[in-house]
Amino acid sequence: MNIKQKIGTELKQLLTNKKTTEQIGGWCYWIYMKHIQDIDTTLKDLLLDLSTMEDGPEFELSYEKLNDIADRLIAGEDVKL
Amino acid sequence: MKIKTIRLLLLLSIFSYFNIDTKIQQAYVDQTDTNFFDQLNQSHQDSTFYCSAKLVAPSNISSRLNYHQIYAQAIYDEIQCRQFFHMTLQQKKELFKLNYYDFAQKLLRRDNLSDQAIWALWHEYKNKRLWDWNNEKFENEIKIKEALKLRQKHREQKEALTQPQRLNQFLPEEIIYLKSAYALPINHSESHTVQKFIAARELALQQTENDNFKQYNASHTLTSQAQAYLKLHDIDATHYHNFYGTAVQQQLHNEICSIFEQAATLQRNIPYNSNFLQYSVICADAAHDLNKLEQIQMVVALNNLSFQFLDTVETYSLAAAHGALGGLTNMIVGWAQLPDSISFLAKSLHYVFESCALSSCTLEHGFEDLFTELRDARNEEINIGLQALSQAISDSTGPERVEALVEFAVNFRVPTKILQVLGGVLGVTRSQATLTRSAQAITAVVGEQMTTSETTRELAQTLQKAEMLLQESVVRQTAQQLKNNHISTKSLTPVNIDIIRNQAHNANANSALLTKLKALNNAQADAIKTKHLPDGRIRYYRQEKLSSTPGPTRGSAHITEFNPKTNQVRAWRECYDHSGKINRVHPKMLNGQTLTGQHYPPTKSELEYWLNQKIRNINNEY
Repeated sequence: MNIKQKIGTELKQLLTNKKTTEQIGGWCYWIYMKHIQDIDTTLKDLLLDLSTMEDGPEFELSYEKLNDIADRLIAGEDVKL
Repeated sequence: MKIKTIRLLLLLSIFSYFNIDTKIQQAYVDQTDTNFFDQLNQSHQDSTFYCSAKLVAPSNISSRLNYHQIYAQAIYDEIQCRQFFHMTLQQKKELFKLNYYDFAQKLLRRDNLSDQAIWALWHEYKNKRLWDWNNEKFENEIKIKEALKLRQKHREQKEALTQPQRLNQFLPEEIIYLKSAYALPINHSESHTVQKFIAARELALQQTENDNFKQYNASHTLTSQAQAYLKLHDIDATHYHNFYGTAVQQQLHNEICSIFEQAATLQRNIPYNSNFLQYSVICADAAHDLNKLEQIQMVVALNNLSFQFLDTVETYSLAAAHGALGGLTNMIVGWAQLPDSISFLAKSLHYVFESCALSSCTLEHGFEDLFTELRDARNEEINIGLQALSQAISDSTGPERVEALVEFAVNFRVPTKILQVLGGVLGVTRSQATLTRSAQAITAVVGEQMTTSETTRELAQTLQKAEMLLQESVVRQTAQQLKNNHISTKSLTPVNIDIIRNQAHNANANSALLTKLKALNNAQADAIKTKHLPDGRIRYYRQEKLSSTPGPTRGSAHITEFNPKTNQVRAWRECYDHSGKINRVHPKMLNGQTLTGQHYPPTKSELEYWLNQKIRNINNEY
């Protein structure tokens, strides 16, 4: 399992546990800092964009969209917002 | 009988309507002399102003509050009032009973209140007196505005004097180092403008030593003419309005401002775009960057060179222009001074080259000299150049001699390489844009194309030696990345390598250090805008992420800041409203470690979370 799939799986887990979008945003920044040495540019951009969700409801994404992102990451695809 | 029954039923319904909660609500309303529910709605409206576009709470919120929640809200309001206005609700109520004049006076006497708090109180007071159509209202509002401006000015002056950003106590070794770094060169320039500043520099040096090398903030002004001239050269004049440094640094900054003003004035008086004036401005700009790094000797050298350029323009360009217009005498006088001016200029150039070549910071910090070959080669080139100059002077006579000197000053090849290479290594040119701009300017002076590949190769050799010497993976990685990107070569000076090495006291620091360097590298690679602050910090702005749904916040950007003096790297996110102003900040990272904290000001969800937590705590107590 590569880093992308691992992040996708963890994101899926958070969505299953019904975490709020603010919490998911905070987690995205934490995971970005944790894997800053390993992740590629596309994944870095995605994580930084997702982390804006904790800045307010204007940046929130729907759970459907987040689920879709998680699925695509697990499938190993490059995701851009 | 029927009437009695109806009366009884009415009484019963009224009695059942007033339950215990309404009595408590009424008690609270009486206590605060405000409509509790209006206030509650108002506080929700305020929170939406700060927070989000979510719907405000419905007006019948009171029906959902129980006794404990109302009590909690009362406590919350009291705490908010004390925190924000530094007074109790009762004191606030008493204050609101005063007339306009007394209210304004009492408000301004409270020094502990922030400007925002004063305006909030004033508007609340004014809104309570909407019925009062009195001119006194507007007069007092103007008075408050003026008083607040005056207060802010006093505060800034006080902060500028007492800003303790640098430790006042130095170790004896540090003082010896500072004294050597601040040693002013003696009588190195024959420019009459420089002579004026020598006494001021010595006085500033004495003051700096008396103040124990204390740094302070001072504001400087540039004339609109100078600002316009700087704008022509793509230099942001706002970077020069404030400067943080010792008395010597402030004096040198004054000189830099003076150079800009003189250049602008001279340019206005001559009928063509003078290249020499442009060079003086570029040199002063480079001196400004060096001044922030406390490279005093280099700043003095560059300032002297700038003054020399200005003197040269003043003596021959103006004299020639005036001569052509005004008469033959002035022109002859002007041309008679030419050889002297050019020789002074050549001496100044020579001084700059020497300073560059000999200012080897490696020796000062106990490292092996990495620039031996480079310096020897440069010294040889300087010698060859000077020999050629002396040959040209001796061979030519009269006007030919003047032409030869001018040609030498313009076509001298050495400054390009030395200023590019050493400027890059010493950190004068800290970004690609600055490097390109400086290189273009120097190329214009020298009259040849910029040898970028040669510069890069020389830099790469220097970096390779640094890697071999230090054998540290962190430095090796950074060097590789920087070498690839050609960005921020300053990070690889031996001084900074020394700092990076000394930070790793603990094995656990390795992880944070790697993260820190990678975060900085990412920020530099992704930056769409780079901002250089007066105290030397550099901010890298990532592209703004626009909001997906409409609301008061337009977008959010991730910013990384690097402090070259302390090597601190921190990151935060800024939210912008629709006018582009920052409406919220969220700290994210400090030196490679993720920060977990609130937004400033807090978001609605954070406020709700705190309020719920507070109510839960109070409920638990009961």
